[in-house]
Amino acid sequence: MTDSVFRILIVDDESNIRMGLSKALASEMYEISTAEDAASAWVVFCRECSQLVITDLKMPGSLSGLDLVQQIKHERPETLVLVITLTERLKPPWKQCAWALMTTLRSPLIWKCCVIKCGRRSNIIN
Amino acid sequence: MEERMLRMERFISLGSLASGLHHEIKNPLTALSIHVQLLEERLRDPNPSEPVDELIGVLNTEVHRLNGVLESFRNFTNLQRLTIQDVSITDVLETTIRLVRPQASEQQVEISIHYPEKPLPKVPLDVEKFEQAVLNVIINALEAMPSGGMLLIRVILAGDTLQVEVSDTGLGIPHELQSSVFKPYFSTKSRGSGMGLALTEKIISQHGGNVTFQTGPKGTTFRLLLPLKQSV
Repeated sequence: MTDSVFRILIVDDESNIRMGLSKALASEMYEISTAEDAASAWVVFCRECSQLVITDLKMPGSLSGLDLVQQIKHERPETLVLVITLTERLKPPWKQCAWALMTTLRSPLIWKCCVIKCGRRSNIIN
Repeated sequence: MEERMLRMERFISLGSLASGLHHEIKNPLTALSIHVQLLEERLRDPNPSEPVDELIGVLNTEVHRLNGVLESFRNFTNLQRLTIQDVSITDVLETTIRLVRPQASEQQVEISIHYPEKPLPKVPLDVEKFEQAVLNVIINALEAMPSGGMLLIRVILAGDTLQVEVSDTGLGIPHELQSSVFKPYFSTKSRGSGMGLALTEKIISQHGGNVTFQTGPKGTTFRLLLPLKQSV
């Protein structure tokens, strides 16, 4: 695993959202993994040391989206987290640990810019 | 005071219904939004590397799903009066079971149905709505047994009440989820509407009855209790 690749983990129980985001962000610069619930996302995160996690808020299973984000922030606080949402503003407690990724934005280009910004912030993308 | 409590209860259930509906619409809408944008991007590409069929397939699936969400919402909120007629419960149950036999056999679930020995009286029911209520419970029971099991349906006469029991041999409902099973939009399945048991409870209440359940590691039993004399 080289540090020149930006490792992204997409977590959503909806396969069409998970796979759609994967397709939208597909690029040589990124290594994209997906998980369908918070528990399996945690396993992938620990194994792959993902640098950016894009996650849904509500997912079935014993571990919630918020539990996942809190575990990630506790384990590696530098990890960037984007929460899949239809609105721009996140409410607490999400506000403190994540940014919103609005899927109603006009173009996947904007998401890509959003992800690139995250990459720059973690000094992965120049 | 009592009126205020009732009003508050109505607001709370309206709030949870709205929040559930929001979530059910949000997921297909998000998938639609992502795929519309991907489609737009691919159509603008003079040399697209992949065909658009797959993206259009997703759009169709999600549009159908949104339609399903609205249909189940309409069914749940539809306060139309019941069309009551005296019917044979045996006929109603046999019709409903016929619908699920193919699915049960595919999952290797054996269906067993028990009626009381003495002849059953006719029961005042809205046939269509009652069939829906029983079907929802049976579908849940089948989903609790993905690798086979036994679906037991028992009809019991107890005084002025008719009881229809639907039991499965699944793993039971986890303790922390038991208080939510009748809530609208509550589902442990990512593709479930979450309206099945909520609708069942509403239909049975409309008939003047109630729904209870017992669950444990060896399975779950739902009991639909109906008055034999209709008072709705």
